[in-house]
Amino acid sequence: MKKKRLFWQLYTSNFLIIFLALFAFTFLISGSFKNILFSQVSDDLKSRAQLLHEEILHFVRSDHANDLDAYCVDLGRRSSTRITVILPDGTVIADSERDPESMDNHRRRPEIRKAMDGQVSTSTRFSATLQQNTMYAAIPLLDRGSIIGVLRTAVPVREAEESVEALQWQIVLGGLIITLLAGLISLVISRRITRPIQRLKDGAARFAGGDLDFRLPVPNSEELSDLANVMNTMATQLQDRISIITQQHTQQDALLSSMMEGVIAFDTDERLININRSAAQLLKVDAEKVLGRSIQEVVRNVGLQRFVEDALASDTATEGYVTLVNDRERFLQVHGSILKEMGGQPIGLVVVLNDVTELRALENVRRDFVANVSHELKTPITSIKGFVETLLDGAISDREDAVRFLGIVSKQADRLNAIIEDLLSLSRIEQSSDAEEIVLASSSVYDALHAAIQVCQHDADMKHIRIHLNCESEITALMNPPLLEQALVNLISNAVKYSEEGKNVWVSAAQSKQNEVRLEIRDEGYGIEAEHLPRLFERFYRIDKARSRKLGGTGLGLAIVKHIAQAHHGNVDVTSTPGEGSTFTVTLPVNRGGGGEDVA
Amino acid sequence: MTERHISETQPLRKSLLRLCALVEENARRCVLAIRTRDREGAQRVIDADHEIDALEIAIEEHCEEMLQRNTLPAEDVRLVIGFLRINADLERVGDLSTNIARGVLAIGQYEQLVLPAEIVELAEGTLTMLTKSLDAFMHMDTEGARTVCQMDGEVDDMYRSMIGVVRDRIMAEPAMTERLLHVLSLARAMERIADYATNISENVVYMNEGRIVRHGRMHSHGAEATDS
Ligand SMILES: Nc1ncnc2c1ncn2[C@@H]1O[C@H](COP(=O)(O)OP(=O)(O)OP(=O)(O)O)[C@@H](O)[C@H]1O
Ligand SMILES: [Mg+2]
Repeated sequence: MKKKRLFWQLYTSNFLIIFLALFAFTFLISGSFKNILFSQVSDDLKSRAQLLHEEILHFVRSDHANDLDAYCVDLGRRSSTRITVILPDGTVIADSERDPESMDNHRRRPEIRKAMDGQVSTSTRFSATLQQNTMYAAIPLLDRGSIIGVLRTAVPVREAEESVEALQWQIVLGGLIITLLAGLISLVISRRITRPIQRLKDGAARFAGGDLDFRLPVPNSEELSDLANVMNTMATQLQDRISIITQQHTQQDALLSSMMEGVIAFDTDERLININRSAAQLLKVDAEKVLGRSIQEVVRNVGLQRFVEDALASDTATEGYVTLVNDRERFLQVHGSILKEMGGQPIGLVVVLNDVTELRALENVRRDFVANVSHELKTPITSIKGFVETLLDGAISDREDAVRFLGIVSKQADRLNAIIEDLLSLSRIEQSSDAEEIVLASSSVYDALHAAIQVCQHDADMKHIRIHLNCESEITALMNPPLLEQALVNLISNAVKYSEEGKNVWVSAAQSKQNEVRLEIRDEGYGIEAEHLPRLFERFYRIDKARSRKLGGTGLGLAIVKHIAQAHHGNVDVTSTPGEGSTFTVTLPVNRGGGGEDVA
Repeated sequence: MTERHISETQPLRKSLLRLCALVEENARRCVLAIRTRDREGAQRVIDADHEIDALEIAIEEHCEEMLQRNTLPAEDVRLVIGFLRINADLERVGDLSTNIARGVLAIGQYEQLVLPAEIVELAEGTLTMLTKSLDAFMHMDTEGARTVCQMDGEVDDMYRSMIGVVRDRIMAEPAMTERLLHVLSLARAMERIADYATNISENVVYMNEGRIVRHGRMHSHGAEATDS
């Protein structure tokens, strides 16, 4: 339904009131005006009749009918009144306007009848003689108590009627003007009422649009100003409440997003209602876009989907593990707890995701380490024990065998010693670097490289491997020379060990960044397949166990290198192409503070 | 889509999304297994396939049951038909993943065989396509679906250059022929997964627009993929 404008509502009601009032007014006024006019006319007629009474009576009594008629004609002309004289039987004997002979019997005329009854009366009707509305007054002609005729006076009432009509027209005209005025006034009033209402409306729209800083202007009318005040108060309260809610929300968000653990909240229909940054990163989703979607539409991981379903179905807290498969596998420990209303009605679920991938990897490393160390120690010991027992069992008497066996025992003991030495130095480096005990000083990189090459030179010569050194003598780095040399020896000896005869090894150093020196050991050896690279620096990790052990390796060399690099606040990295060779890079800071700090 | 509309096909959609998750996880594990030659991971793929098969059958029955109800509105019919097709495609992707996993196990026997870098590239390209097509289905995203259809050509190119690489290596080392043929079948399975990803995307467009987009598929394997 179309809404009417206030103006039209006001105007129609105003108009109706004015119209009715005017109508009633016209009706009453013109009625009484007409009455006054007519009673004046009738009084006038009556008094004229009374004035003529004696004269006419005289004529009638004396029976001078012709004289009477002439008299009436004369009188009538002078007083512009029609005068008629009628006998009791209704015959007209004189008339100022017409010939009485031609007139019909007047006995039945109402005013005549009344006069015959002895009353003075008037009557208004259309006169056939005058051809217009006429008022008649009739009085009885009394001769000593008996009625001998009736005297009638009459005038046309056109004038009176015209006056009434003119009055009516004036009233109608006035009414029209008033109606117009009323329209104008309605317009003004409706404007006056609607303008503040419009302002209130606009203000309320701004409130609704969120502009709660806005305040409504207070209009002068009492009701509207109350309304405006109430609305302003409402806006203030809303603003307060919203700011409290926003504040709580930001706090909550800050809390959630600063958490390392991923947190996701679901409603009972498995739809996401909140997700923090860690969770979004972990699941690789856009936190903004996933709200309101169901878990199936957000993460394609059956484990997590199932966990959420089961957790929602159960009444208590649940716990489990979920595997994410991306570029690599990630293991998540998940906790689910049901969110409950005050009344204990479940309203959703909070799931906390804990990435335990690293933890698992560490656990694996530790488990492997224990297994490896036992295995590594057990092999030489078994061998030593075996040969010693053989010797005790009598082999000692055969000198040649005894010497050979003891040689093996000695070699195995050396191996045991090497392993234990390596383990000890590893734990020493670890401990002292933990305790920040390692003394670092700015020293020449060339000297360190040169010293390390010298240690490996013998083995290289044996395999006809040439070691090339390329390093400017002024390059320095923050180092503990004996430790760094140990690391470099490990890398260079590996390069020699895992290359075929006659190849080359390149050793170089250069300042790569403001505060960073890169030491590079490149070989043309067997190379390492990509799958081994991530675990290469773990203790006892060897690619080809048989070959490494044959070459006297313990599998601890690279672990030591890594620890030494870290103790220098540096880093070690490797790239390799199977069949073409490997490059090991050690980065060290040049001086304290910044640079090379990206410790793995 | 109207409210009622969503609610009637919603359980079906949920099951299908779960199937998506299972299939994607298996495909990912395959690629991971190829990259790291992880035999354990490959075995996991093979073990998980029966779950995919079971869910596929359940979804198919659910779809048929819905289609038999004559009261289903036209919009829903289209949706359910789309679901039915995607369901079949997903199952085939699952099967192909199992094939790949078996291939990885077979290759695992030859320690020295160095896999050509191109196979990893191909596997990753395929995986991206599959993920994107599943994303498009998840969000009923016509635009995303269209980009997947465009990617199919790239994967085809990778596959073709892959064949070239393997052929050259067979010529160079005829002794390796048997092993390299395994590599070739891996590549073929990958390429077919990419085809099914395209199919899925086309169905997403069909469900959204009611229009069947199957432009000139010339390769026989493509036609085969479309039929199943
Ligand atoms: N330059 C290299 N080229 C090829 N393989 C290498 C190279 N450096 C290390 N490796 C591989 O990494 C493994 C670990 O090396 P690491 O130095 O830790 O142990 P190792 O050489 O066996 O024993 P250690 O150095 O303690 O005597 C080796 O077994 C070898 O297979
Ligand atoms: Mg070594």
